[in-house]
Amino acid sequence: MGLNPKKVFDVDRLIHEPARLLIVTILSAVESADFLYLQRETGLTKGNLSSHLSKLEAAGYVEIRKTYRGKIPLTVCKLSESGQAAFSDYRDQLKYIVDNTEDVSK
Amino acid sequence: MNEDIDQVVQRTRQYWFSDGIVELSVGSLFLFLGIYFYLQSILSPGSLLLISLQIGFAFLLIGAIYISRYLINKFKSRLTTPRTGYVSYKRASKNQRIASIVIVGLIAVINAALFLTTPLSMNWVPAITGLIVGSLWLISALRVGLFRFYLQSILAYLLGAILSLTNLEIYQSLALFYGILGSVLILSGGLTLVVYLRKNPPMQEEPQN
Repeated sequence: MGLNPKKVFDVDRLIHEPARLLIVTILSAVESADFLYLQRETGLTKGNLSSHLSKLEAAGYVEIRKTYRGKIPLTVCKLSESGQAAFSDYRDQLKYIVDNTEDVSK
Repeated sequence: MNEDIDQVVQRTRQYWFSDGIVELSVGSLFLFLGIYFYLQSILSPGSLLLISLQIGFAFLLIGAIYISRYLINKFKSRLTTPRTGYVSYKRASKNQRIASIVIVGLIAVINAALFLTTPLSMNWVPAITGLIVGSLWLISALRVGLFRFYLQSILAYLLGAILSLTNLEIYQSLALFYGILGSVLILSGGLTLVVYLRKNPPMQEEPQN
C-alpha cells in the first residue's frame, strides 16, 4: 500500500505547528481552559500563547471569551466544533502517514 | 515542551484533584457521616434527637453535599484559579453514564441477594459499603491515574471487610468506616494542598494577555 502524497500535503499546518498542536491537544481533553492554565502547561510566553490562540481563533478552531470566576477575570478558551473536527482529521492523517511509511530504524 | 504530550493531557485530567480540595471536601463529608452514625449508636432508642436525626438524614446529607460543592468552588476560585488557572471538564459521556448505572445496579443486586440469603446479613453492611465507596474511588483512580486514589480505594475495601469481620454493632461499624476513611482523606487532601500551595505561590502580576 503506497503513500498518497496529497494526504501528506493536506495535513493541517495550522494544527501541525508544535505549540498549537499542544494547545489544541489540551483543549481537546477538557470543556474549556483559561489563559493562565494554557500558559503554564505549554510553557509559552504570554505573547507567544496569545499569538497562537489568535491564529486558532481566526481559523474558527478556538472560541475565546472573557469572563469572571468570582472576582477573578479569566480568558477562557474552548475548542470549537470545527476545531474538534480539524483535530480529528489531523490525527487520522498522521495515522495514515505512519501506517503507510516504513520505519527505517528497524 | 520536552515532555510527552500524553503526560500533559493526563495532567490536565488530574488537575481537578491537584490541590487536594476535593479530597478535603469528600473527607469532611465522610467525617460528617461518621459522626452521624456514631450518634445513632450512642443515642437511646426512641429519644427525640435520634428520631430527628433519622427523619432528617436525607436533608442533612443533601445539605452537606450542597455545602461541599459550594465550598469546593469557593476555595478553587480563591486558591487554585489565581495560581495555576481554571479548567472546566466535559460531562460524562452516555457510555460512561450507562457504565455507572450498571455498576450501581450490580452492587444493589449483590446487596439484595446477600440480605435475602444470609442470616447474618447486617454484618455484611460495612463490607458492602466498602465495596461501593472503594469502587467509586477506583473508577476515579482509573480515569485520572492518580496513585493515591488507588491506595484510598484499597483502604475502603479493606476497612469494610475488616469491620464486617469484627461483629461490631452496625452503626458503630459504619461510624468507624466513615470516620477512619474521612480522616485519611482529610489528611491526604491537606498534605496535597500544602504541597500545591508551596509549589505554586500566588501570581505577582495580572496573568491575562
